Amino acid sequence: MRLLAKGCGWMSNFLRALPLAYVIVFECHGCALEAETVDFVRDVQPLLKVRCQRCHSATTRKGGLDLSTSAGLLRGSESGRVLVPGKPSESRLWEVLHEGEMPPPGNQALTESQVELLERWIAQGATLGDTPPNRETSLNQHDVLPILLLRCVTCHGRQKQEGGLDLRSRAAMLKGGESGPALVAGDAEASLLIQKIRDQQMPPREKLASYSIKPVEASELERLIQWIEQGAAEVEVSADVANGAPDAMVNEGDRQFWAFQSPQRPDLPAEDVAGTTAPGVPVLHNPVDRFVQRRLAERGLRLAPRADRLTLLRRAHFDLLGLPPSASLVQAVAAADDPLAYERWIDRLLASPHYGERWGQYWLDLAGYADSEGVQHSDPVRPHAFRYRDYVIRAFNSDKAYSRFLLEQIAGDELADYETSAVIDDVIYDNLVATGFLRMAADGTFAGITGFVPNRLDVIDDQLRILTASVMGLTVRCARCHSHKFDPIPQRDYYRLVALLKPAFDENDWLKPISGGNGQAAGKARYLPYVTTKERTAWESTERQLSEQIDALRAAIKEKSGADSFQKEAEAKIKNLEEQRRPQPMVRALWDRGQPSPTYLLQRGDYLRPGHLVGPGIPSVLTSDQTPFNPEPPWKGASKTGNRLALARWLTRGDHPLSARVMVNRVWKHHFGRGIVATLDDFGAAGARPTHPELLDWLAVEFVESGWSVKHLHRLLMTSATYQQDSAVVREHQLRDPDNRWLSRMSLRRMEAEVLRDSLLAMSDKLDRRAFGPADEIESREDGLVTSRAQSGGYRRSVYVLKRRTKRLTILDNFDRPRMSPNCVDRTVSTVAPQALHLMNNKMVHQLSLSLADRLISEAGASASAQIQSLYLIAVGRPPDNAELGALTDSLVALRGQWETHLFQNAKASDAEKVEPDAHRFALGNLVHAMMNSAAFLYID
Amino acid sequence: MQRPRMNGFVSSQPSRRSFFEQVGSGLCGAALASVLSEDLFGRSLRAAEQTHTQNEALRQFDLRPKPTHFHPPARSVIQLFMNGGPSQMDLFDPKEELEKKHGMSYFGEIAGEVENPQAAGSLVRSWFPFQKRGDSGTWVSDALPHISECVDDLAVIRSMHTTNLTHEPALFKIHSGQEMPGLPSLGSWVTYALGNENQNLPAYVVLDDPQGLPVNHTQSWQSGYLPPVFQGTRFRSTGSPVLNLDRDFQEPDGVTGLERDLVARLDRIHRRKRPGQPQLNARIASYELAARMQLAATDALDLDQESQRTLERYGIGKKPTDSYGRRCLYARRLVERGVRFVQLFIEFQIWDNHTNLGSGLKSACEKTDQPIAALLQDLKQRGLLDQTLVVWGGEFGRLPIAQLPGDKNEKNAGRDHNKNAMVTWMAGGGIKGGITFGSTDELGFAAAENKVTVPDWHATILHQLGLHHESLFFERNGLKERLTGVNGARVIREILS
Repeated sequence: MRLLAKGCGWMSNFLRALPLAYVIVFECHGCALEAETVDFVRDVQPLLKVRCQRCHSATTRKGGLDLSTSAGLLRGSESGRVLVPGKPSESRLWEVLHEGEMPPPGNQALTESQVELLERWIAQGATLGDTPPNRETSLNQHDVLPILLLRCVTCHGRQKQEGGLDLRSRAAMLKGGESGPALVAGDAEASLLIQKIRDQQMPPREKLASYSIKPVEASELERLIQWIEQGAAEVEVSADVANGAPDAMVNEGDRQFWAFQSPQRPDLPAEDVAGTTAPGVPVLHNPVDRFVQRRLAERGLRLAPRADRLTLLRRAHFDLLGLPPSASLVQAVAAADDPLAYERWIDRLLASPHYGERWGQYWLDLAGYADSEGVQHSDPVRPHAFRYRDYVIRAFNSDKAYSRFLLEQIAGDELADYETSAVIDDVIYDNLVATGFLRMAADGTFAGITGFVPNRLDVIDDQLRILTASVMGLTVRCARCHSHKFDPIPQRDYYRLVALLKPAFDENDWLKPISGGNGQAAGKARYLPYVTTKERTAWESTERQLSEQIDALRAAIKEKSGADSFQKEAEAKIKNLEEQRRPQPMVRALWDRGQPSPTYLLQRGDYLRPGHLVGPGIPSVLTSDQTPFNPEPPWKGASKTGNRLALARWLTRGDHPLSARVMVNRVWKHHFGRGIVATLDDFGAAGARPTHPELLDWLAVEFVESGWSVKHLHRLLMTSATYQQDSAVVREHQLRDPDNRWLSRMSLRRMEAEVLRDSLLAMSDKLDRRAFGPADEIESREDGLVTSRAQSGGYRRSVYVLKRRTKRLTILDNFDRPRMSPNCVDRTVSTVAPQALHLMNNKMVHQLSLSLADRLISEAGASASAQIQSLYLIAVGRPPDNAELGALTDSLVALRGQWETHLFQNAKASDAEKVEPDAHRFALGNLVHAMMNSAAFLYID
Repeated sequence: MQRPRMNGFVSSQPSRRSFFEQVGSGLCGAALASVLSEDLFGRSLRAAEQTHTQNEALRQFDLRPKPTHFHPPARSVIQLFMNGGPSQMDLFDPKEELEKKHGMSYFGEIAGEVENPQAAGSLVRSWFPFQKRGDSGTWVSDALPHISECVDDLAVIRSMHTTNLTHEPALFKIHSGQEMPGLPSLGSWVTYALGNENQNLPAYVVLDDPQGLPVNHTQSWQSGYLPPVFQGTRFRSTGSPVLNLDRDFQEPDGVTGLERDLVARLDRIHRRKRPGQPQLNARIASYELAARMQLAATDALDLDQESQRTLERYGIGKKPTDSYGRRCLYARRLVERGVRFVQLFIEFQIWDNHTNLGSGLKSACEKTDQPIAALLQDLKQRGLLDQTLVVWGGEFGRLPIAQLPGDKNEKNAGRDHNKNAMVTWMAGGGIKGGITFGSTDELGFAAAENKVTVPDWHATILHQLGLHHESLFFERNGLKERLTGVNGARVIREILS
């Protein structure tokens, strides 16, 4: 880890203030003491003082480390001990100096002889003047609780009390279980706890793997004995939380970074911002354009001319719906030049139910949505996950305020009392389903062998990563093991977040992804039965009717025993009825269960090295010292802590420095091809700086003031002249804006994987537009091809196809649909040969091309040129130009000739009259197939 | 301190313009250009800001050969992956103490490390006698008579260990460095770093067993967060070698040609109207490559070009060696053609001998022993072994105690998984032959001397290809992600020649 935060040239200032003689004196110590015993007070302390204590004093304590006193040296940093007497190579203090990690770059490093001096001091035992290095400390409950939590409480804790025993507190240990008290304070030998562990009776050896438990290690047993021998002390230890005192690890300077400051609405640039008066450039009514134009003008550029209507129509359709405009709409738009039409299309597209399917997918990427658990070969399916997917799609369709959307997903279980509510309405149901957001990480803890505490900590880490990267645009993951290298996020802050989530994610009281199994009380899993009362009643009544019918049939069979034919018939009916039964509808949710186990900072992220006790909190750099984290139970009598509700309320404050900016930036990226901050997931120090900071802030404030309306944002961006620009690249662009970071034109984009598949289906009339509900099944062929199974009306949109982690639809895989690891914050686009091979040779694409050919023949009439015209309207949203028409007409003739020859050779005499129409159909199919493979189709201008 | 640049190769990255000029002039190297919008618009910017060079430098991904960090001994890797976890004390790590303590109880000492405690038996000696082999006197059991003849080319590592005793996480670990799914595999890292020497074939080829995929399925060769251009491509032994390589529907040949011409013509019209759009050039190139790959892949797998003698050496045409023998021969043909990373799998998990280890392990050996020896000898004869690193091993080792079947009959016992010790070997590609490195404790339960971690093993493979494992990274989430992770790794220099 980094013991120091960023260097800031402090050393030079410091040296200027320091008497020169002092430096020389202690340099001399370094040389003179080659063979002598190193003395802490005389040799080591002055060295640490000059080189380290600017950041590691009693008051600054960067990384939790205070090198000014022997007590501080002994305590070590937040990552644990820095000194191992006698072992320099295991001592972090020596390691960071030796490897040149410290002092930070830009500061004067220690000389080789100084590092050697410290090495010798540690090798000689690291004596600290009058403080013995290994003084025996008295242990308290926090020294042993982590051991018991890790090794025992699965069976002697909250969910289960085998033998009536609970080992989670001193009082409970004294009370003991059926065999008597587990603990006799002051007498380890007499304590059952010690006897059972020592005799290897506990934890039971045969059950270890299936209960995800490891035996107690010798050093742990020793510590338990020591604690009991010392009297089994229980002392009041206050957890490390923000308490209003100045934070030693994060300072005001850290908080000054642009992304950690609340956005303020800047003044709009003037309407006649330089360069806009040129002929052909519209007056810039839209605020977006003024900010963009200002930057362009600085580079001698201006906004490109407006794209033509049909290009805009196609662009807007793919952007908002992920589907092509219909041929009739294209014709209507081509025919009528209505200046207000564009804004009306945008409104109409935003009102389409397909909008949520398109934009919901981006959010599902962020959440890491998958329909299976992954990790193990069995990759169990998550039968109830689809409710979360549907919730997201509905939320986008109804333009749910983004603030509310976040509240529900982060803390829906704390928004309303579902347990005592007589009726579960849509609101309560949505609240609970939304918490599925924090249930999406791959999770192998359904099996004993992949369900150990470190596996659970990985799941929590993934969920934290999903939360912070998607909502906050911040990386906190580094701080699991050490304080963040680039951003002011100390390790402590990571564990405060872990503590915050603990009432819902408790690695010592874990709810497995699948109900049942060892070490888990029956029926306990991640599912709540609170679907809407309406759905539940309907389900119950259906099931009741089925049961009644089945019972009646069974009774009849009994009555008429002997009548074989009747029995057979009745049994077939029963089987049919049984197949109509549906499993109980459940919600895959996350909920606060109160009474979390304590959270310890894990030194270097190692679960076997618990450090000090940490309480819930939010990253210090995003708050001020004066704002302690004060959650309250969400309603009177609630057994919930309100931790996540407090987090969500903080995240959705109008002045939050990140929430609105991060979302606005994402929406921007999906419309323009790159974010204003290019690193969507990292607004921190290592991320990119915004290209248009004022625009970003203006949009963020506008977004909040519009009531966090995402549709308002779409409307604002899409009605800008910036969005409506032509995508043509001219020489000036190549010279002054080659990457289009200044938005001198629209970026050409390739269809995303789902858009491609859905569009192919839509064009061929094979798209089943039914929304929601359980995912469509997939099929995998022996050679690895994975396809979706057709429904009665064709195939549903990609968002409704089962997302099994081990079996991914080949077409989506080939066209860059991301893998969830644990989520995807920003998609990539590649251009590789397997894509070409797929579109050229795949059977389904071929079948779709024939379907579209049939559609053309029946809809466009017999004329080949009408069919080609129609094909263009359907596939690329415009009529063909002369060159294209020529190419297609030539090819159609040649292809028809080839097909006729082929069909004649293979046809029976009776089929002779079919050859000509068939040849035309197949040849037209080839034309369609070529279009489906063409850049004109795959790329959006 | 200056932060290292992207992938360590910034200086050698061509400018955007020169790159597409090459595409335009038909240089096939650029054909697999994978232009990431993220990098087109995102990270390149960050790099530019940091380095203040090449203001708008474009970070691209393609499969053209890339410079190494230093002059490498090896050019290609063949990974012989032994699914299931081969038993170290029955193949390469003889244990005298185990012989002596046969039948004694040991479960209590290692209870926390046993996956199936209810089936745990007592210590069990090896089913196979061991001999010293070759000039080097390397110990190998009688189960591997053919590999025994190659020991003077092998560096056997007895002290390797891993971090999880379950197949799935252990496979993720050995293939991608960490126990979790979703990360790039070793082969993906190698091709990301080095590209390919043959642009008409994939850089990273997977030869999986027609009898079944390994336990993590295709996740074993995924590219994770690296661009998909670096993921492994499965070559099948029967039928069309690559998915979608040929038309999956019936059509006269002339028609296919006409349609292909039409696509090309339409794309030229489209591009002519859109000058300065590099994506469109890359796309056209990808269609050209797709056509060339149809010929090259079919040719690479055409064993009719091999002599009868060669086929016999690999055991092709006879049971039980035919299937694996073919894949070994394909591997040679692929590295010969410049493919960078070839990965062979065998069945589902053939080495997972929980019961009947005596017969099960023997059968796995019989299927693989002769083909592997033939591959090593064939590579050597053709002068390819020096530049081809061959690595052998599974995801973990096995326990010194017996695992008893349901009927508790010791005759049918096997061994349970063991993460604390496993054996692997490397050959060729700058590896010192005829040595045995590291050791396990007296019973073979855990690595003892010169312990080798999975990241060490990865670092060593990368090193033989001329790559510093710490300088090979991919930036995302504000982090430099590496194959060898953040906890350090060491190149096993003791086994290098």
